[in-house]
Amino acid sequence: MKKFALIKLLLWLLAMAVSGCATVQPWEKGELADPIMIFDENPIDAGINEHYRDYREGSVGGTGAQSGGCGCG
Amino acid sequence: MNIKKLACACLCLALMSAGALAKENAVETTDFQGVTIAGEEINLSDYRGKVVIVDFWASWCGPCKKEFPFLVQLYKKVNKGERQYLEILAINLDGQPEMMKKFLTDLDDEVPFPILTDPEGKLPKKYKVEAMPTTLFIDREGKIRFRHKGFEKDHMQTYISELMALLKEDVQK
Repeated sequence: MKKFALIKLLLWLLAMAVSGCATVQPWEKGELADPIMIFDENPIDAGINEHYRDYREGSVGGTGAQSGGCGCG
Repeated sequence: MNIKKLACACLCLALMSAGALAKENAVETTDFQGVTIAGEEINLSDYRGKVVIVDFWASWCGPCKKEFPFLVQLYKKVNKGERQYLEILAINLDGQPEMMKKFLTDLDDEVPFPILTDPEGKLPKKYKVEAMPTTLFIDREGKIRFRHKGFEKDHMQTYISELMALLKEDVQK
C-alpha cells in the first residue's frame, strides 16, 4: 500500500515537472535576451565580458542564457 | 581556352539551375493585414507586382540590430529614382513598443519603409518563423522565393544577389 502511495507521489511529481516545460517561440525570447537573465552578480559586466570573449575565442553563449535570443548566433 | 569555355558553361548552368530551383521551391504567400506605426492600413496583396522583403525583427535581437540598418541602406539604394522597385515591410515583434521606439530613434538613418507591430506574434506563427530575424523575399507574383534565418555579414552579398535576380525578373516580364 505504501509502495503504491510512493509511486503515485512520484508520478504526480513527474507530471508537475513535465507541465513546467514550455516551448518558447523565437519571437518570445525578449525576456531571455535581457542581461538580467545572466546568472551572475553583475549581469551587465558579465554580458560585456561574454561579448568580449565571443570576439576573442569565437564562442557564443557558453556561460549563460543571455544572447541575441534568436538561437542563430 | 577550352577549359575557360567549359567553366563558363558550368557557371551558366549553375546559375540557370539555381534560378529554376528557387522558382520550384517558391511558396505562395498568405495575405495579411496590418497597421503601420504611422497608422496606415496595409495588405500584403497591395504590393503584388513589386518585389517585397518581409522582415520579422525585434529590438532585443542581436542579429536584427545588424540587419536593420543594412535593409535601410538597401532600400535607399534600390529606390533611388522616382519609381519604387522594392518595398520592405518590417514587422516588429517586441512585447514592449517602447523598446522598438528606442531602437528606431537610436538608428542613424530615418526608416523609409513601413513598420508594423505584432506583439502577440500572430504573423510569425502564420509564416512559420523559426529564428530572429527571419527575412522573406517575395517576388512580384506574391511567392516567397527566398527565406533567411538570422543575419551575419556574409548574408549581405546573398541578399543583394537574390534581390537583383528578383528585380531583373520584374523588368523582363
